Order: sequence, then structure tokens, then C-alpha cells
Amino acid sequence: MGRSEIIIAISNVEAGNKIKQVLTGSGFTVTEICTSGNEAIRKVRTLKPSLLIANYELPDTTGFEVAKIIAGNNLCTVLLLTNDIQKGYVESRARDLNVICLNRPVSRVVLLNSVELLIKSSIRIQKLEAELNEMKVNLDTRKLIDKAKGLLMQKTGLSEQEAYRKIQKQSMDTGVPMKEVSKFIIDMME
Amino acid sequence: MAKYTPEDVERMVMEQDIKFIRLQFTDIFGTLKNVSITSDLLEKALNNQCMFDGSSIEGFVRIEESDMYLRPDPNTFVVYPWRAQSDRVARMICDVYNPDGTPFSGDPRYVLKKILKEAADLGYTFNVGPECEFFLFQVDNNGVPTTVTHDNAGYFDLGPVDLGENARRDMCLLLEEMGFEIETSHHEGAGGQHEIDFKYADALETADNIMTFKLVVKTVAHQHGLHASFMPKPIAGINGSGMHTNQSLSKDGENAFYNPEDKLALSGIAYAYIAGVMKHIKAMTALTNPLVNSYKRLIPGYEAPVYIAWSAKNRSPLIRIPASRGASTRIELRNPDPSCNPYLALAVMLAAGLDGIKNNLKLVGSVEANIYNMGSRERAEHGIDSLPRDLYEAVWELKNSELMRKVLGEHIFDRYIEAKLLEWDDYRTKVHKWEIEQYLTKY
Repeated sequence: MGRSEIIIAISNVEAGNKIKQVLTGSGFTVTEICTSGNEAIRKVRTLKPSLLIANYELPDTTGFEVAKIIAGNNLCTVLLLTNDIQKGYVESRARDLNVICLNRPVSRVVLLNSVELLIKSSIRIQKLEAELNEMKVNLDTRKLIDKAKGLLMQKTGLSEQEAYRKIQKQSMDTGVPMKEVSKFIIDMME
Repeated sequence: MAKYTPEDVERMVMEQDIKFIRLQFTDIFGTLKNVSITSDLLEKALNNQCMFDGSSIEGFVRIEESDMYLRPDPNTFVVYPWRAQSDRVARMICDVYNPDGTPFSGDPRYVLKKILKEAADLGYTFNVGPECEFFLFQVDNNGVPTTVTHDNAGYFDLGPVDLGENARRDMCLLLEEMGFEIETSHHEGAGGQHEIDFKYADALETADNIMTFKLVVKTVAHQHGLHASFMPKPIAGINGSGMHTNQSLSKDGENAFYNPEDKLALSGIAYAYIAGVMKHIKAMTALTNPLVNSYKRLIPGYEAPVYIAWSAKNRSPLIRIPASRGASTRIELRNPDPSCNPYLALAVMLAAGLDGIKNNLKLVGSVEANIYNMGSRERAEHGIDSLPRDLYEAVWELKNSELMRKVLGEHIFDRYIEAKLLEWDDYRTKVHKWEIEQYLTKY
């Protein structure tokens, strides 16, 4: 999984190579050039790039359908190359999705700036999501420990500090994480 | 199945901001059909006022009898969990009714409900647990499914097998989100083939689940750039896809197939049920194995049944008795394939089993030897008959079955046979690749 890896989906191989040249010239890695939407979906799912650049027109489906699947399943950000009408359509239908449209013809500067911005943002978002997930896990653990503490205090008359110490000690003695010890206590006492 | 009132459904649609509701039903060939409504028509739908033109559905009616009403079952309300959509969509499975308020005799769900009622009148609940197999195929650059299960055009960093595994894992996650209880899911014998088994439930719920299951599998496959196929034998020379159907009857909360005193721990009811199924199986295959291609799977060498026999020990008979007893006592009917209409397939299985019970049919002995090693004379000596060899034979058997006519009702019975004969005729009159390969140069 590369942080600046890109997959391109466009049926015209020459155009795809041109885009690839521009991107690799600026230090980005283009892992694949796909020539159909279904191929792009398969490659994104197995190679996990940070960004998919897809043309709106594809031989088997539209770039929008591909974008809905890729962005909808949170696989990576999608940059669609569109015309005015397609852009309007996509933007009206995909407000919540991580899909950006650029109108063709796309200049080198616009492409590079957009890609740079998207990849930077996606890295940041991934980091935030990881932090958020970690916080959720910690919160769940804390809730479990609190519940176990509460039960211990209720059923055995221990003080809050003593109850916490008991869970902590059990965890240290047996090498079982405090979360699991708490679950066990809850199961036993409820 | 969940328990929802119409008010529950209205509330959920509002709370979850659902824009579209699909009113689903199944045609006689097992194809899922929808009438889509926007959420402002929900009340009308729940009042059984939504109509559709029955003549647009193959096998339903002729033009003159067109108006049909959809009566949604609120308990089947489910929000589709697909992530790749702009608006939230939910569905309810519907029964089809005539304008005069009577159930439409061509509605397969009604056919199953009727036979379930018959069983219920005798005190029985019919429980079914299906094991659905399917293939995941690559889609080519034009969006057309192929029978290629690995990528020829390039390489993957992870193996191509992993794409299928990921797809199957997502299928299970989404199915569970929709309330399914998945028993097991695994990669099957043939390359690109997968199996997902879900938990035993009463037959109506199971039939509904099978329809939903096929939709989920196809949708998730599509979202992985693959095509899921329930075709019974897409590739000659490797295993086909079956839908082994575990089934049992229960009475008063107890498994009616279980008798601890018996040497196989099976009850007289169980034996009579098996006898009924074996008696009618040839006529049943037109429903359980409905395609020309179904019969390409029912050949020796690929773990699919060919002969009509039951066994507690053999792995590949028509009817196998899995080892579990007690509450999980059941028989496994191994010929059905997943292209069948689950409502009609389960209905005919139950009807056959009940016929065995009602008439106290005597079951022949089990066959533990390897039938595939016996010659035709030995099979005849053992009284072992075969399943129909092609769709035509199966339809012929169906035509001659009074029981099937009674269970399916005249409407479905006639239309199904008519359609299947047309299907067979179309196949019969085409020139196939095999004929070209065999004959073109030689003659």
C-alpha cells in the first residue's frame, strides 16, 4: 500500500500514458493503467492505491459508477475526468462521496495541483480515521472497565479505587488485557 | 425474520431517510422482480393498494387479466446496506393478489404458503437450511462476464484468489447486516467457486432469504468487478454449483425426524418423508433443476447425485443423512441447484415428503456401496433408478405427476411446462459448438 500510489482508468492507452508521464515526472507512482471500469475496481481492491483517476467514459460502465463503488466503499479517493454536463451530474448526485471532478482538457498544472492536494488530504484523512478508530476502541474498553468496576463495587462493596486495582491486578497476574478481564467479570456477575 | 408492523416500517423509512422502496416478488422462473416506489407512496403500498401490470411478467398472465396487486410483508422490510449509492433504498417482499382480493394462483410464494399450511394443519413446521454454491468470474473489458476465474491480462500483488475471498467476506458482512445468520462460508472445490451456508429457518423465511442472498451475492460481486453466477454447470470438467438442501419437520417444538430408539436415530416420520421424496423426485427435478444446463451437472464424477438412493454414510448420494441428531436431525437433498425458484423447489420437496407421511410409504434400504461402480444391471437388481438425464425427461415426468399438478396449481403447472418445453426446443434446435467441432471436418 503506497501513500502516493495512483491507478488510472481510461480506455485510450495513449492518453493514459500521457497522464502517467505527467504524474511520474512529479514523483508520484502510477501503479496501473486500466482500460475498463471493472478492471479498475479489481485493481483498486487488490493494490489499494491512494487515488484513482478515471475517465467518465469507459467501455464497460461509467467512471461515475466506478467512483460510487470505490468511494462508496471507502477504498480510495476518486478523481473523475469529465465534461461540464457530467461534472454537474456527478456533483448533484454524489455530495457525500469522496469524488472530485476535473473538466477536460486538464492542464498539467491543474492535474498536478489537484493530485497533490487530494493525496495529501487522503493521507491526513486516513491518519484521522486511524486515530478515531483507536479512540473508539479505547472508549469501548473504558466503558467495559467502568461497568466491571461498578459491578464489583455493587456486589462486593469495594471502593472505586479498590475495584480498579482488583481488575488491574488480575490483568497483570494472568497476562490477560484489562478489557477481557472486565468482560469476564461482567459475564460472571450479571 | 424480524417482526415489524406497518407503523414500524413507516417510522424506519422516515428515521433513516429512505428515498426508494422496492416492492419485490418472484416470477415463476425464480427471477426477482421489483416495483419501485418513492417513500411518499409507502402508505399506499402498506394499504395493499400498489398495482402493477401482470402481463409484463413472463408466465404471469395474458394481457386481458393484467391488474395485479402487491401486498408487502412488513416483516421482510430491510434497508439495502450497499455503500455505493447516493440514496438509501429499502425493500419489502410482497405477495401478489388478484383485484378481487384472492391470492394470485401464479404467485410462487403463495404456492409455498399453501403447502406450508397443509403441513401446519398436520402440526408440522418445515425447516430448511440451504448450502448455495456459486462461481465468481472475471468481467471482460466490455463488461461481459467470462468463465475465467483468474486474471489473464495481468498480475495482482495479492493472488487472484484473494479478490474472490474479499468479495465473499464482504458478502457475509452485508448479509449479516441484513439479519442473516451465516453458518459457514468457504472456497469450494472448483477454482473460483464459493459456498455460503445460512442457518436453518422455516421454509418461507428460507425461500425469501435465498432470493435476497442471490441479490446480495450478485451486487457485491459487481462491486468487486466480478460476476457471480448461479449457473449449475458453467464449466465442463470441474464441479458444478449445487444447492444442497437440508430439511426437517418439527412438531410441538421438537424435531419430528429424531427417534433415539432407532438404529439410525431417525423416526418413522423421517423414513416416510424420505420415501415420499424418492417416489416423486423425478417429477420434482423439473423444479429443483430447472435449466437445460442443470442436467450437465448431474453426471458422475463431480460429487453431484445421479441415482435415486439414500445413504447415511456415502458423501454423494441423492439423499444424505448428516451425522447430527437431536434437534439438528435432518436429511440433505443434494440434487437441487441454485438456479431453481426456491419457493417452488421447497414447496415440491415438502409436498413429496408429506405425501410419504400421509400414505405411510415404506422406504427402501439405504445404499452404502458405491453406486457409480455398479453397472446398469446391478443397479436394476438393487432397484436403483436414475434422475432424469435432461430437461425434457424431467418435464415429461412433471407432466405425469398428479401430486405436482396439485401442489403447483393449474396455472403454474401449465405455464411452467409450456415455458420449459419451449426452452428445451430452443436448445434442441440450435447447433452447438460440440457438433461443429465433432462433425464439420469429418463429414
